[in-house]
Amino acid sequence: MISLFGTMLGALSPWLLLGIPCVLGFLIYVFRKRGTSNKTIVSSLFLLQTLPRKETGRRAFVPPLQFWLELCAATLLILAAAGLFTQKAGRHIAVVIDSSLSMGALFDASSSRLDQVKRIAATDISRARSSAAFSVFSASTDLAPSSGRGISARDALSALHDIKQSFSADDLQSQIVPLANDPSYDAVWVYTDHESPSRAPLDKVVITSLPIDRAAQTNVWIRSLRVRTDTRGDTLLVALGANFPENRDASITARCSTTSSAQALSLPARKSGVSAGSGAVVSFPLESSSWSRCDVTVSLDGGGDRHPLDDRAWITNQTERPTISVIGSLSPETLGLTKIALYTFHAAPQSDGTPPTTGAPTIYHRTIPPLTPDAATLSIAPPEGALPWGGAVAPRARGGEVTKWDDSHPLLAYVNPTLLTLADLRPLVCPPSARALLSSSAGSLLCAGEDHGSRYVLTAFELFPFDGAKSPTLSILTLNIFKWLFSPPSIVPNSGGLPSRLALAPSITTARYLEPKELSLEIGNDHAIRPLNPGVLALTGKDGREELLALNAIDERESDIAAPSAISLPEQRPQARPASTARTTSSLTSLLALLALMVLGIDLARRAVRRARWSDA
Amino acid sequence: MKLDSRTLQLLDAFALRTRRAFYGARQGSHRSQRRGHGVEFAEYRSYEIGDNPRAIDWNLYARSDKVYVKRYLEEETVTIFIVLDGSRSLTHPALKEKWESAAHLAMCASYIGLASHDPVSISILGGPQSPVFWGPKSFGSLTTFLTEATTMLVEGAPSERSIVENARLAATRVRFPGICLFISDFLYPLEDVAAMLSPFRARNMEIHAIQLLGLTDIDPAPESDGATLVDSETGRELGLSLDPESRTRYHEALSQHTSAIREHCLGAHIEFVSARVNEPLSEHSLEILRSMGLFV
Repeated sequence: MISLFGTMLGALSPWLLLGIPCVLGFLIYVFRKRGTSNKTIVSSLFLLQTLPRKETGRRAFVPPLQFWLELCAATLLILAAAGLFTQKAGRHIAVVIDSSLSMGALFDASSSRLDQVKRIAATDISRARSSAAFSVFSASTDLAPSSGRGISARDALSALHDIKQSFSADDLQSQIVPLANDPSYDAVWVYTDHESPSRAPLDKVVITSLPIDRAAQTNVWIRSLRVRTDTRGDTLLVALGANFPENRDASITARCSTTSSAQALSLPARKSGVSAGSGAVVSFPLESSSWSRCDVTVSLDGGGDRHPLDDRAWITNQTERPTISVIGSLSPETLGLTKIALYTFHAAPQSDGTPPTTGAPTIYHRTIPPLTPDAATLSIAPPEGALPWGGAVAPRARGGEVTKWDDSHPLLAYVNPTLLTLADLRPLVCPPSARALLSSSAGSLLCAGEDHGSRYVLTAFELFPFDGAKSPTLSILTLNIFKWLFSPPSIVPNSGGLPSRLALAPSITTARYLEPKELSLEIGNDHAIRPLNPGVLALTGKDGREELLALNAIDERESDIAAPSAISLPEQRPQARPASTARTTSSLTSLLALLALMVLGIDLARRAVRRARWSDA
Repeated sequence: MKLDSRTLQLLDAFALRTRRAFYGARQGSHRSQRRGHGVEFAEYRSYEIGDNPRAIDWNLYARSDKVYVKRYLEEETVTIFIVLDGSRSLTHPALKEKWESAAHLAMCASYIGLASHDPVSISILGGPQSPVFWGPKSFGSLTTFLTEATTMLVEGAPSERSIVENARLAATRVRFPGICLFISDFLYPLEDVAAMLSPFRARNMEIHAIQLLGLTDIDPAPESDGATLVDSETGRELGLSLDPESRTRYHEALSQHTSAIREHCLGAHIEFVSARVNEPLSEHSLEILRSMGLFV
């Protein structure tokens, strides 16, 4: 490749270019030889013999026009055959904007963290060389492209403007690495509120962290909503979280509706002291048992709450416990599942492992689903082999100690992994969409992830029989798993934030938002919806029955906006060859072939005119 | 080698027109020098014993007391003598377009003559001589003769005699003065051209000379600036520079040579036409026939 006026010029088969000097030499030979060996029969020489004779000695070769036309046509054809192409000499830069829930926190009085990183990214894009190309991504649960590939700076700025706030947690750590390893990108610019790693392990990754005064990032948020039912009736329990050390007062308001279409009734506001050290739980007695949904808001007295997006949550009245299918050789009773009162379990036929109902949460005990499930799934000690989400199960290993764990995940909340006694292990290779939460020297022991909006957990060890306090660590872990996977809507999950995709039961025909405002949602071809924001959904079935579903954006990590969380990136793998970039290329083959045809056309026209001139002479 | 039906249809519209009267072999449709029983009055002559009394002009006798007889112009045939240059300059395979054009032209002229019952004879210089063909039905035989002659000339060896000698030999076959159609490229020195035509002048023929020039005659080796040219008749080779200046000089020399021939013919009362060989042959031949003024 050579650079020519800012554009790179290359050829797919450069060895064919050797044909150009060969053609040049051949044409010179032919034109010099023309007439020397060619003998032309003429009628008589008696007039021609008066003309000057040919020079026998060496003479200068003065190429006629014919020579240049033929050389031009041959050169163009050779260049076309060699596959000449141009390539923009600029870099291809991936721009990643963190749009997770924490980016909704205020950066200054008038703008959010997301607005600020967009401004910084826009400045960087504008300052880049005009030849640079960009691909813009927004990062939350998934890394979603916000633009086409290799667009101009102007289009990139427009794409930046269109990035919207998401209500889920980010997973930048696992999302940056594939971009950094993609040879088509010359650089990866990441804009986030995470702290940059102390050193940049990946050369082409540039992480721009917002300069945040962590001490000033006060926030109070709704940690969870739950309804307690007892002889006195229903009580709404609101758990609050805070990230400031001193105790401050927060006001909590709740508005509840008794039917889906009735006007909401405001409950008397409550006040509660809250601090980082002690989360508070505020209760609201619900006077009517026929309440359908409640809307809860928390605000910090005296202001200073820098993250408004986690101050509001919803809950609906779910009178039935979720039903979970259990697939395995042992019954739910044998597995001790009936001791977990929050759910209903029923044994599903084991014939093919397919859950009886699409969208039904399922536990696979010592077995794995044949296909990637469309609902929350727990797979306990699966057999050796490949997993439908990717990854695999290694051969059985004897028990081992937990050597590494990720306690930031809600599955390990209140769990001391060192107390786990694991006798029989089936080590895992976690699927790409999962995180390894517990690991031993034999491999991963606990994987949790989300695939197409459906959560799943894999354990390399046996969780059952569930025996509660007899094995507290394992029991707590099991309940955490259930809570994370199978939480009924009335118990709002406290991690992950808003799901990016929600699979619906086949009987559901329409979906619409009731809160914060009425809005219809489109059900996709995969019979799932993509929630836009937290609120209350009304799902209508074929029988006309309406089911209410509360969606909330609650994530401890995203709400604790003062906690510094650095991005941890793996060391850069040494590259076997220099990263060749797939830049914007344009093939010149068609143009060159067309030009060659034009030159040949000119030559033919010239010969025709010459013949016509002779015949008219 | 034959004429297509469309060409024959067009040739049917042509007729031979001579400038002067000739003695013919038979009664025909052209004015003859002979006095006979035609319709056109020629002269008076004193009565001689043996004259037909019906030819006496009694009105003249009444006016002059002298006996005169009326004499009329006889209408007889005119012999068409076609001379084709059969030298290698026309019959060489590389130059065959010239021979094809010459033979086509000869066939067209023969057809017109035979259609009006005039005798036609073809003499190929350096080649065979044809018998005299009479009447339209002999056109096929004439065509056959030309076809066989073509094969003989193209495949056979060239004549050892010079073109001038061959012309003299051809002229000896003339029995009756008539029309002589001389078809050649005339790429010979002027004195040779004059020597070719003079035997036919001596036999009092009405000569029409047609010069046919081919592509290589006008522009030898057009795609190169130098070439080795080979004389088709002598086989002599000559390496020449054919740059644009040389080509211009050659064109001037050719033009001067043609003009010289034209001047000579003008002085010798010979009609001269110069034409380039062109396709299609039928249109090309008809154009030449019209330009000659001999066929109308």
